[in-house]
Amino acid sequence: MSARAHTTAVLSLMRATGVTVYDGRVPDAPSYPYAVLYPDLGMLTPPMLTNVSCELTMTLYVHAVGTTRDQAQWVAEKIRDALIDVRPAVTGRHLWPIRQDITRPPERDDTLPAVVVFDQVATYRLRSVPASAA
Amino acid sequence: MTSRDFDVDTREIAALALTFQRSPANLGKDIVKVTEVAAMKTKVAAQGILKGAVSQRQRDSSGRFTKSARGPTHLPYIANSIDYDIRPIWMGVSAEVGYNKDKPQGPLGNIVEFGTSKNAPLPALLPAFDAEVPVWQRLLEAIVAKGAI
Repeated sequence: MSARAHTTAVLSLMRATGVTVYDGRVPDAPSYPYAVLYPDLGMLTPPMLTNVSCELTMTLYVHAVGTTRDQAQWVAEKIRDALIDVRPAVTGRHLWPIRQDITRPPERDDTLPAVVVFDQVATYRLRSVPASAA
Repeated sequence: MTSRDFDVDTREIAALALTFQRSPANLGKDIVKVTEVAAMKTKVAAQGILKGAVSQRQRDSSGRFTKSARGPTHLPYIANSIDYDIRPIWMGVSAEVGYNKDKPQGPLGNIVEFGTSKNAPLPALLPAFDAEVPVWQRLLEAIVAKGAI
């Protein structure tokens, strides 16, 4: 039930777009535009009619950041196209297609010292069970 | 692709519609009641996450939270800014749980919930909602089953 393996698979999909992708931490001087992934640990729950918590549901928080609204939206769309309805491959797990959950309008962030950026947030859901249970 | 990709059997839906037509008058009241309780529990669970009283993620087999997590110490009022609101809508009821922007630190709710361009989120509402929805759905099913008797 490795959330890490799921995260790695998602990062691979994101990086295949060619967009700069950061994994949970943005450096002090990032390369704009970029996307940053904040995955949660996922909820482990028992699938229907069972009592073993082996179904993993992860929420993936993706920030698409650019120096203009257009840049942020371009990154957000590239990432969405790479993730939505895709089944990442994770050894030993059966994954359902990634679904989009929440999206928000781009927000202007003027709290950074040297640059004003636009931040477009979207969340995605990733669900899996052990391959033997699928 | 053929013109018939799937078949839909609506007999059970028709039976459910009949069930609703036969339902006692207080069915709607029960639905409002369990929806309000679900909204309140979502609010309390989200506040608990932010106050560090409970974990966002770990539950034992009986559904109780088992791990503790730290709340955001720089946002001491954010948890208490979470509110819920319930209102009747046409043919149903609507419940809304969220950060009340009129309360101290309430306007910072989006930053907490979704993070920023350089800071990770500290989700509270979404995990609380995810945990409560299955309970709420089971209660709704029980109400419908009661109405079908």
